[in-house]
Amino acid sequence: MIDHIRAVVVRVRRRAGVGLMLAGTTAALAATAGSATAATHDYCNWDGSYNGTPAWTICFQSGDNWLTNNHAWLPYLPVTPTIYCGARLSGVDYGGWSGGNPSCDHAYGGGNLLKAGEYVSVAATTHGSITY
Amino acid sequence: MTIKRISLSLVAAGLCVAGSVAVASGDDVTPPAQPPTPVAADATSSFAVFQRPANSGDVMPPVTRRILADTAAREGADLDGARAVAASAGRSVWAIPGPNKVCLAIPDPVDGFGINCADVATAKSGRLWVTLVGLPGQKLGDVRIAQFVPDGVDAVIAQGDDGKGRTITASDNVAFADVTSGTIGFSDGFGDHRVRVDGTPKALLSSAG
Repeated sequence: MIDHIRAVVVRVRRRAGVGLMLAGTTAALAATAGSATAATHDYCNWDGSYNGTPAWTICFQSGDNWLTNNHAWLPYLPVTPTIYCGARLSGVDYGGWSGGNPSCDHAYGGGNLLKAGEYVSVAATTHGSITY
Repeated sequence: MTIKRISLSLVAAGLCVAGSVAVASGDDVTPPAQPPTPVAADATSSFAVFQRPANSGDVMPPVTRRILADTAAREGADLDGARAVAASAGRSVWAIPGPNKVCLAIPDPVDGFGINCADVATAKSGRLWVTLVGLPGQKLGDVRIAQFVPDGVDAVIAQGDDGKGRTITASDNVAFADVTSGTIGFSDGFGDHRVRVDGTPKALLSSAG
């Protein structure tokens, strides 16, 4: 009887081991796929919280990245301000700033190290995210 | 008639009734009445620009497709259904349909695109627009704008803060022009649809390279 129980325990352990191996392989594949593609991150408030942005004051990301997309929005609607998304290259405006309501979006080719920013025409709560 | 016969008759009558009910329900193939399911507004069927045949200019260049891919994926927009609606900076202004959204993309002469997306109802009311400010060569108050308009609207009015008005022709459901701070919009059978646009601010001019 004890031998039988031991055999069952061994089988369960083997199955659990195979399961864990498969789960581990899947996670590794997912991680590989993730690193091969651009990822989106919050900026301005990097913890994902909302930002109180004064009018005409640019809220920048803290670093520079090979930016492919800058997307910011006004989370509490309806609101009237226009929100703008843009970027700087070495401290100088890189192209234009894209405006809209209730969100803005500026896509880039990804060939430059840029510092993304967002601003509003009237003080508002904002949230920014960048893809690189 | 004995009690036994009466009982048998009642049982037989009961069986007949049950059979009738069974037959009736079995023959009743008409489904019960259902309220019509509301169909979500579809960009392609809602606007003429997406119904016209694509021409050679509507084939999106691979570089543009790559740059717009992230936004298109996020918004569920279909780059294959996009239409080039105006020329700008050697590239095209794009209108892009989705199942229930429309996106507008203006090329930034330096790199990439300014983009905005909205649902079909918003696009029909003139509240889908995208601007570019702070571009090289733009002065205080200058703004480049694309505004989406519904079928039947062939022009929008840009009213500057300086009081000057200007008519901008719309084609392929889009009005595209360089204007100055003010309002832009149109009137149709559903009312007056104007939005506020702010041009290049002083803050950008002082920081431009």
